[in-house]
Amino acid sequence: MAVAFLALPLIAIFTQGSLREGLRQPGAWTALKISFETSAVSLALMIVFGTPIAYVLATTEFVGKTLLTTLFELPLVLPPAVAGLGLLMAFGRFGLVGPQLSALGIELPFTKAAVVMAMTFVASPLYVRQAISAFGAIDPDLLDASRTLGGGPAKTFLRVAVPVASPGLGAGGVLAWARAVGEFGATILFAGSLAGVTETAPVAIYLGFAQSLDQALALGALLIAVSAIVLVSAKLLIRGRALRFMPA
Amino acid sequence: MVGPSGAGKSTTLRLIAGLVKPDSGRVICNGQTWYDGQRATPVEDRRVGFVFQDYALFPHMTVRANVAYGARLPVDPLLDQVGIAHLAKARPRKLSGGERQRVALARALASDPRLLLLDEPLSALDPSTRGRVAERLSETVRSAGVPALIVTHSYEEAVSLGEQVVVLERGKVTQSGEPHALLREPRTAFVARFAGLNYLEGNASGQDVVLDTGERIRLAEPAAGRVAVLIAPWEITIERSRPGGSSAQNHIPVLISSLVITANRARVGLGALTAEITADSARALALAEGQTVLASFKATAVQTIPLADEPEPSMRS
Repeated sequence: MAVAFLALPLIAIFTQGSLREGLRQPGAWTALKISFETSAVSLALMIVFGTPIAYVLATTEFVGKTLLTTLFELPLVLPPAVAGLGLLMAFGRFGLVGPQLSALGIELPFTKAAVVMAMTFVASPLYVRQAISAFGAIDPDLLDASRTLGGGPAKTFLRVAVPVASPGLGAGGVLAWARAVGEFGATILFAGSLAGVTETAPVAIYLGFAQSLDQALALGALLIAVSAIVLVSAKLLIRGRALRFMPA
Repeated sequence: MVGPSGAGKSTTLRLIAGLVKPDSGRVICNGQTWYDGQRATPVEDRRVGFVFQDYALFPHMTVRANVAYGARLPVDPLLDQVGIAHLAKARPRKLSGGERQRVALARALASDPRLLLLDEPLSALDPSTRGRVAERLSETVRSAGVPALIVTHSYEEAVSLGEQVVVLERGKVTQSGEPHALLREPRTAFVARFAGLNYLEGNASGQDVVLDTGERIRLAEPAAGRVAVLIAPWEITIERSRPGGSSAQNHIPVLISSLVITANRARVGLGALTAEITADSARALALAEGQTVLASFKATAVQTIPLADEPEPSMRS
């Protein structure tokens, strides 16, 4: 029954309605393109900023560490709509830092940047948590060995910690990317749904559902297909790397 | 450095390397103060070559890359010297224990350390390979010309690897000196047992000791009060019945609790005592578990260490 519950919705998307018709509509491809562009940027940001943060949280002790860790995990339990609202209230034109941003000529809401921000906000805890766990699983002797061999914190991080933790980091990246692609609530509130600019695939499905079921279905099918491909290939890659480290 | 489990040997190595901060005290190496309660020289600046118990080889790098990590000396000659040049492109997970140990040693030596710290370098190995590897290790360390502090929990290893031995018990140094001095003049119960001596406790008055287990032992040198009684296993002879005229003054009836015969020797468990005799003798006497025999030894073979009236925990273990 559990399998049916999970499989039926996926099967239905491919079988109900006309996929062919839906695929012909340009709107579908645009939305998909926006989804993947923005999620890629978001993933890059998460990795570049999240990895060192996770390393510090995993390997050092300091005052306020628990508080900081909780802060990074908070978006996980926050309803996405609330996240979107918060982002709008902070960075919108009349938000907390809105006036300062306007003065610099930066308008965030309803831009691609806003989509990236919304995705990063909701998805980064997934990556950071996984990364913390991956770094925490490293044999501490390896990091100590690097230090006794003259490696400072940066060298130890880049040349030992990251490579050894890379299977876990990869898994975290896949998870976070998937979450970013699927992000809807925060996106629609903060970035709106300007077709061709900020209308990501999930948003397009939601909005287009009433007008063109076929388009919605096509988008859904494409999303499933691409996501599945990414998920499987990432898993294979990660398994491959992990196997290389295991003792014979 | 030797000592029982939990004595603090590994911790001491880590304190010296700077991986752990002491609660108090100082760490000084060759005149340089590395830790004095205020400042701590960072690990990466101390130039200490550390060989970890499980070797801590970087799994994602080849042997050569491992040795080259942090190397200040040419890598390839070192690989030759340690005998692992043929493994340069291999990954750690494909190596045997002895090979991994050599890589770990080469990696530490390549950083041109001013001090080598080895944490039980042989305990991760099979007993069968240990002897060969120990010889090689000893050679390499000595020819490197770098002072080395080696932690081991085997007396034999301490004797073959060490020039000076320090005994650590519960965080305190209880004896230090030449390895053989541990056997000749053990100062604590741990040292005596560690060196392989039989250890019993009792109360002495003059040349007699009454053991806690009830037997009486005759001493050559008088003693008084609570003492630890030490007898080397090879000083004990086993007899079937009380001999007529023997210069040995001690003959204790004991039960054979175990019998292990190796190529030329037999280790006979006699309750609290262990005797070591030749395998030939064991066979000639037809010894077997469960038999009652006499354990004989001279009074001059018995050493005593005075114990405090209320024995301290470290003395008892």
